[in-house]
Amino acid sequence: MEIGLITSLADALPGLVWVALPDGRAEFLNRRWCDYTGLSPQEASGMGWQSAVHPDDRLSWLEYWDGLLASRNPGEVEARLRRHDGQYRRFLFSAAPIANASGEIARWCGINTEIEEKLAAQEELYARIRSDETLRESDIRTRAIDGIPGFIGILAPDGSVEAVNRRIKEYTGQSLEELKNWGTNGTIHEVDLPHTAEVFGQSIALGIPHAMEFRLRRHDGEYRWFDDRGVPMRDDNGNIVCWYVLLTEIEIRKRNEAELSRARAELAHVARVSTINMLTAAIAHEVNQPLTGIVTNANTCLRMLASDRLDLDGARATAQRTLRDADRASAVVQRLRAMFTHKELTTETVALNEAAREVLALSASELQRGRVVLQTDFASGLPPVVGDRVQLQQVIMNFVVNAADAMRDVDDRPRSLSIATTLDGPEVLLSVRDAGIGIAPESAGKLFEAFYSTKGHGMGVGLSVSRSIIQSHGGRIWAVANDDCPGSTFSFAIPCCSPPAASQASEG
Amino acid sequence: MSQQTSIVFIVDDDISVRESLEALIRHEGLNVEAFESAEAFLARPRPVIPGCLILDVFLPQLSGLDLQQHIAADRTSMPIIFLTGHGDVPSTVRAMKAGAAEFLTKPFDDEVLLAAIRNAIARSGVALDEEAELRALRERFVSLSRREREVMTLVVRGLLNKQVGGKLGITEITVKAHRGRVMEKMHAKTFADLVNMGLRLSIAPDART
Repeated sequence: MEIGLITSLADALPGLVWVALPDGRAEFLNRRWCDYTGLSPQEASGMGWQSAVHPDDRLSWLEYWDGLLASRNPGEVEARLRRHDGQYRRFLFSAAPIANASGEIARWCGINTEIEEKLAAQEELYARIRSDETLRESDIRTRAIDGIPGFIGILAPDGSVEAVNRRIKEYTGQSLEELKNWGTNGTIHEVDLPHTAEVFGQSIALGIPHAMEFRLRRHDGEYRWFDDRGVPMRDDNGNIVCWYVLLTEIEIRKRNEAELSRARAELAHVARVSTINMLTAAIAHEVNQPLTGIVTNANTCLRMLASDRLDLDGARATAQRTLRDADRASAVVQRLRAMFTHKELTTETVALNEAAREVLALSASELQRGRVVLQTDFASGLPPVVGDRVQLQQVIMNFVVNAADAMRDVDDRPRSLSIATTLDGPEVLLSVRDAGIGIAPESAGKLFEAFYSTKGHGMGVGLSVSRSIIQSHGGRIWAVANDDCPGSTFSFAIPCCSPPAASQASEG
Repeated sequence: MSQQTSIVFIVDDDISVRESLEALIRHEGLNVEAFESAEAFLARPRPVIPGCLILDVFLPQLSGLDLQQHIAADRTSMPIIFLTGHGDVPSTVRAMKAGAAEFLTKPFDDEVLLAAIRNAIARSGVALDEEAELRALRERFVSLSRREREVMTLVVRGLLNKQVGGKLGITEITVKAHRGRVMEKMHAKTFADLVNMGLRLSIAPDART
C-alpha cells in the first residue's frame, strides 16, 4: 500500500491511532489523535505527544512504555489524556510491535481508546452493588439477631436504636420506630429512667461498655427487671461502628435478691436486737446480784439499828458486806467497759483500695436502688496499712451507707457519691463525699458519740463504732460539710505501714 | 408453831444474795441454813420441823426448777419461794404450776420476802400436821387384822352389814362385831369419821363404783 492510502486509512479509523519508531519516538499520529488533543502533528511528533498525558500518569506511563519496548510484546496501559479543551479523560493505551521480514521490530503501532464513560458507568455500578451489599448485610444482621434466643439490639455510634431482634419487639409489643423513643415513651420504668439515662449517656459519650439494671415494660404493661449490657464495636481505626446491646430478664433473680436483702435486713435487725438483749441481760444479771445484796443488807442494817432490837455488831458486818457488794458492782461495770474498748485486733496488711472496692461491690445494688451515682478516685501505688481488714471495711461500709441515706430525699441534684483515697504524708486517707442533706455545725462534734443519730431511723451506733475502730488503728476520723456544694465528707486517716517509696519499688 | 422449831433454807450460788438473805432472816429470829448449790442442799438430811426454801431460779448445774421438781413429790411440807434476776415469764409460769409459794424478783422488798417466809412456814406447819395425822392413821389401819381391814374397806364403800356378810361369807352379827372393833382401833367416833378416814387412806369409795 502506498503511504497516502495508509494515512487516509489511519485518519479514517474511529480511534486515536499512532505509529512509533522502535526507540519509541512517534512517527505518525492520525488526525483524530491531533484533533482530540488539539496538538498539531509537528507538536506531537517525536516525544512531543507526551505533553498530552496527565502529569501524574506520565512517569508510570513512560516506565511501562520502556518496558514494553524492551520486551517486544504487545501491551495495554491506562492513563489520562488531555482533551483539546484541557479536560483529562481516561484512555486505554494499546500498543503492538510490527516486525519486518527478518524478524526485527520495524515499528510500533497503537490505538488509544477512551474508557472514561465506561469506567464511570462501572464505578457507579460498583457503588450501587456496594450499597446493596451493605443493605443486604444489615438485613442479614437483623435476621441473625432474630435467631438468637435473647434480647439483642444494635445501636448507632450515637446511641440511637438501629435494629432490635424479634424477641425485643415481641416482649415490648413495640415496633423498631417506637423503640427508638425508649427514653420518653415509658419503655423503662420512670423510677429507673434517670439512672439508666445517666449511665447510658455516659457510656455512649465516653465510648465505654455499660452494665445496668432497669425495669422494662412488657407488651401488657407489666414492668419486669432486666440486666442491660452494651459494648461498642470498633473499626480498625478505633472508631465506633455500632453498639451491641444484650438484655437479660432478671425478674426472678431480682425478686430473690429483694427477698434475700429483706431477710438480711431482718437478720441484721434481729442480730442487733438480740445482741443488745443479750448484753442487757448479761449486764442486768451481773449488776443485779450485788445490787440485791446491797438493798437487802441496807434494809437489814436498818432493822438491826432499830431501837427495840439493836444489834450494832450485826449492823457493822452488814454495812461491810454492803461495801463489798458495791465494789463488786463497780468491778462489773469496769470489766464491761474494758471489754468494749480493748477488743483484740486481727492484724494483717490491708490494701485500702481493694478493701474499698469490695465494699462498693457489696453495696452496688443497694446504691443503684438509691439512684446513687458512684465515682471513685483511688490513688495508685497506695502503701498498705496494718489492721483488721473486716473492721476497716465496716467503717467504709458505714460511710457509704450513711452517704446514701443522706441523699435519700435529694431530688433536685444528682445523688453523687465519690470515694477517694490519697497518700497524705505518713498516712493513708480515705474519704466519702455525698451530696446529701449535710451536717449542721452544732451536731458535727456529736456525730461520733454513741446513740447520737440525726436520722429518724438510725441507731446512732455506726459512727461511734467506726470511731473506736479507727482509733484502735491509731488513726483519726472526722466529718466536714462540703464548702462548695451541699452535702458532707466523712474521712479517716490511718498510718501506713511502710514508706511510699519502698512500697512502690516493691510493687514495681 | 414456834419460830424456834422452824427452819429457812436458802439455795443461791451468789454470795452477795446468799449472805444478805441469811443475815436478814436470822435477825428476824429464824433458823437459817444457806447452800451454794442444789446438790449441797439435797445432801442435807430431811428436816421434820416446819420450814421453807428460798431458791434461786438460775443455779449452775441443777437449776432451781429442777430442784423443785426433785423435791415436789416427797417434800410437800416445804413451800418454795423463788428468786429470779429478772421477770422471766416462762420460768415463773413453770414454777407456779409446780406449786411455788412465791416468785420474787431481785432486788426484792424485805417486808414482802419476810411475809412470804412467815406464810410459807405456817403452811409448812399445817402440812406437817396433816402428814403426821395421815401417818398415824396409816399406822392404825395397819394394826387392824386382815378380816377387820376387809370389813372396813367394804363398809366405807357404803355396803350394808348384810351385804358385807354375804361377800365375806360371815354372818351379819359377826360383821357388826368386827365393825365395832374397827371403830375403836381407828379412833372413829362416828361412822362418818370412818368414811373420811377411808377417803384419806385411799380405800374410800369412788362415788361411781
